[in-house]
Amino acid sequence: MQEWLKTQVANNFEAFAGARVSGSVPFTESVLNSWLESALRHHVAFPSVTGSQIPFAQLTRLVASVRVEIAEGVLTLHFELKA
Amino acid sequence: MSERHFTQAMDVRAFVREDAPGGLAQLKGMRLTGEIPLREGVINDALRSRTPWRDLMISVEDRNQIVLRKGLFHVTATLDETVDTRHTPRIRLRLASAVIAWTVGRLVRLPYVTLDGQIVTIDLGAMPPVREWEPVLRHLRRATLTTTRGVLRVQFEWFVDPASPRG
Repeated sequence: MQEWLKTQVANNFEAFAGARVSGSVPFTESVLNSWLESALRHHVAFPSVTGSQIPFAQLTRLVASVRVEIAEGVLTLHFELKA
Repeated sequence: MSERHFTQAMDVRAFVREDAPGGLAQLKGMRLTGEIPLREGVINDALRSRTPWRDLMISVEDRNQIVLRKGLFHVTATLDETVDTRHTPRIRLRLASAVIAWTVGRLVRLPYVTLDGQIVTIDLGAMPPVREWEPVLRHLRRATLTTTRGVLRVQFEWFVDPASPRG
C-alpha cells in the first residue's frame, strides 16, 4: 500500500484528476496554547507532520484555496484541494 | 493535552490512536466534503499491493455494475449507491445470481466480508489496511458510490459532530 501511495505522489496525483475536497478545521484556544507550551518546553519545531502514511507535504501542491477565520477562542482553517 | 500527546500529536496515526477513545474530541467540528474519482487502474494497483486481493481485478462499468475477476472466475455485481455509515462504513454489493452467491460463499472466508443471500457486505472498518483508521472512518456521515465506465466516483461528507460524538 505504501508503494501504491508513493506511486500516486510521484505522479502528482494525476490518477485522481477531477478530485476535489473542501474542509474546515477548528482549533480551540486551549489546544493551540497547549501545543505551543509543549513545543517551547521541548524545543520541538511546531508544527511538523511525521510518521504518517498521508503525504501532507505533497498534498500542499493541490491546495486551491486556504483561509483562516478567527472568532472568540477558536481559529478555523478553511481549505479546498483540487487534483 | 499531555506532553506525550504533544510529542506524538503530529504523528497522525499516533494522534488518532490516542484521541480515538474520546471520539476524536480534539478535532470536534472538523468537516470534510468532497468527490474523488477512482479510476479502474488505480483501484487495481491498490488491490495488487495487498494479499489476499493480489490477483483480483475489477472492471468498473456504467450504472454501478462491476465485474470482479480472479483467474478464470468472474463475478458480476451491482454496487449499492449508498454506503452504510451508521457505524463504520459498510459497502454492499448485489451479486448477479444465486449460483454465483453460493460459489462466493464457499470461496471467500474473510472476517470483514459477510454474505446474506446475494448481498455481500464489506466492513471497511475491519478491513486491513484501513482498519487502523477505523476511529476516523467512524465519523463518515454520508458517502455515495456511482460509476461510469472505468471510473468509480466517491462523494462523501465527514464530520466530527460535537453534538453527536461517535467515540
